[in-house]
Amino acid sequence: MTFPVLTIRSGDQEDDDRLFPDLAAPTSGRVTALSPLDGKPAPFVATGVTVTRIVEGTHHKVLALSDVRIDVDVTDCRVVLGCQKYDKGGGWTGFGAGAVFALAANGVSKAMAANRRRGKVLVGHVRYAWLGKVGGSPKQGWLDTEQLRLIVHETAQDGGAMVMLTLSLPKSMNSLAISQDVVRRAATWRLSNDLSVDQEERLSLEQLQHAQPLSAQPKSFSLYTMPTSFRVSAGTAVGPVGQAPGAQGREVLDVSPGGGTGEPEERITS
Amino acid sequence: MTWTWLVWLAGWALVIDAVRRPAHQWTAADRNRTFWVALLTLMAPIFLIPYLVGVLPRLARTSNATTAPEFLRED
Repeated sequence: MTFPVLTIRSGDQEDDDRLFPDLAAPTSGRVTALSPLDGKPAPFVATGVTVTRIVEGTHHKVLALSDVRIDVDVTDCRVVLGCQKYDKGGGWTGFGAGAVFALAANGVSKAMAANRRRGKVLVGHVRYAWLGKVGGSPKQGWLDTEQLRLIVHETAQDGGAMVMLTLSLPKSMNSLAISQDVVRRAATWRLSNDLSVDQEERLSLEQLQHAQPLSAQPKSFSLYTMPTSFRVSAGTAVGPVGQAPGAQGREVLDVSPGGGTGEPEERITS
Repeated sequence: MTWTWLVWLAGWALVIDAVRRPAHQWTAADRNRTFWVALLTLMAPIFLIPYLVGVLPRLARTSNATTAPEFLRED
């Protein structure tokens, strides 16, 4: 089964929150539930999302949503997002008498959409153990949008694809500042939760802990690259992850992006 | 007569305010800007109170409350 990053959850589901976040209590004023491990979250709102799987150089768009409100939190262990009105309905337009029909059709369509999504929320998260790259593409022209991108890798069992989560942001937001915060928190998390970090990797992570803002690239993404990352699995969702060098029973870790043993703690080098 | 004009003027003032608010604020408030601008422009006496009660507070709440200040552009 592939890993789509985002999934639809309802309040009556009692799944664990390793691969996808849990829903918050209805009275909390939040969409997704946070735990004490999340620390102090930094919230922002995104207005669109695209999930793309890249298998052997071929892009497959899994999901694309626009003109929606997505509540995003950058926390101490993940980037978590939730969208309550992911299915809005509507879209009918018309002129003259057609406008009256469009008004009625939009009303019906929106009511049906509200009924379809009742109690359901689109949620997802990228845990820092999985994070391969993060970066932004600032709005530079009139037609551009501010975008934030996070990249993870599936396990071989899930297809071994590279999965890109791209969030569209309001123009008042600074995607490079968000990616700087994400990479700093991710590096901090890895340093304190990844047992397999060696000396060289530790130095790289310590540099990323104090990462400076990236410079904007015209029409492309500026990305921070984590020295290594774990493929997405429930086994690497919560710390500690990895195994200390020389530890008994250490799994063989694949280091090539395309290969992999399919073990839950598969690790890749960027 | 004076009251009618005052209501229309208030409605149009709110239209100007609505148009000046960025699109993301409307998205975050989950309200449709085109819809409300049209209603206030054409039928301000009817929709002034619903706008003041149901839309403006949401816009005010979402203006910056949902975003960490360090993620906002400085310019």
